[in-house]
Amino acid sequence: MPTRAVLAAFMARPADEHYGLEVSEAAGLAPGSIYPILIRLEQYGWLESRWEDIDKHAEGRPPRRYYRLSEKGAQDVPLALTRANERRRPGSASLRPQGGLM
Amino acid sequence: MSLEVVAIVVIACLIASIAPRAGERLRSGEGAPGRPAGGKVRDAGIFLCSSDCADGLASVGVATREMRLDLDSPGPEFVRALNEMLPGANALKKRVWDLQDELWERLGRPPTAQEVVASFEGDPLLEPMLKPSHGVSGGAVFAPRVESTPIFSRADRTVERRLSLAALFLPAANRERYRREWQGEAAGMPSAAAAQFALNLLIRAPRSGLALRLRRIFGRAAT
Repeated sequence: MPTRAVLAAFMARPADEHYGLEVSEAAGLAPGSIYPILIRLEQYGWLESRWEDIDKHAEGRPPRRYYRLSEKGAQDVPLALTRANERRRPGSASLRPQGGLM
Repeated sequence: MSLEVVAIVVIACLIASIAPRAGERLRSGEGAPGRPAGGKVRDAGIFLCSSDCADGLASVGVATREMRLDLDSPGPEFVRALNEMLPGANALKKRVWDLQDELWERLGRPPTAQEVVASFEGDPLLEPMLKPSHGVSGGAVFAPRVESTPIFSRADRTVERRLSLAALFLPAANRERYRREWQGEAAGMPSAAAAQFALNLLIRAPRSGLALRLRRIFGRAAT
C-alpha cells in the first residue's frame, strides 16, 4: 500500500519533480519513511533523481535530491497500478475488513 | 549477512556512545545555528579577515583600538559594516564556508569551531589571517572565544547523530549520497520535525540498506 501511495503521488503530477518530503506529504506517509520505497523504485528504473542546482551558501541550506518519473515509469506505472487495483477487487480474498472476510 | 548486521549494530552503538561526548565540549545555546555553515563561524571568518585588513579599516577611519573593542564584543552591525567596507571579505567568508563543508565530509560529522580555525593553517587565503597584524592577532583574539562557541544546538546534534546512524545501515558506497540527501531534507524543517524525520529514517534504515544490498548481491533490481 505505501508503494502504491508513492506511485500515485508521482502519477498525480507525472512531469513534476518532487523531493522526499513533498512525496511523503502527497502520499500521506510519515516523513522519512519513504526512502526504502524510493530506493526500490529508482533501482527498478521507474524513478530518476538529480541534485537540486543551488548555491548552498546563498540559500543557507544544502541541496535537495529531486525525484521524477522516468520514461519507463511513465509507461509502466499506470498499468502496474491498474493491475494492482484489479487484484484487490471486491470479493477477492483479503484479510482486511473491507475485503469481506472479517 | 548476519555477521554484517551484528557489525553494523556494534558500530552504531559505539558511535552513539561517542558522538554526544564530542558534542558536549560545545555549550548548547538557544538559537544557535545548526547547519554546516554555522553563523558564529561565518562571522569568525569576518573577524579574522578584519585583523589583516587594518589598512582598509584605517582608510575609512576605524582605529585599531576600536577594532580591538569590536573584536571583543562582535555584533551583526560590525560584521555588516566590514562586509561593506572590505570587498574581499565575501571571498574570505566563502572560503571559510567551503573549509567547513570539506571538514564535515572528511570527518563524517559537523566540525567544531576549533577544528575549522585549525584548518586555516596551510590555507593560502586564510592562514595570513591567523598571524598578528597591526597589533591585533586574529587567531589570538579568536582562539579563546571558539572554545565556548556553540555551533550546533542539542536538537541539531540529535538529528545529525540519527542521520549518521541511519547511514551506517547502507552499503558504504551509498552512504554519502543518502546522508547528504537526508541532510538536505532535514535542513528545511523545524528542529522537532527534523528530529522525528531522522527517527523515521533510522527505523527504516535497515530496509533501505537491504534494498540497496539486494541490488548489489543479485545484480538485479530489488523489487
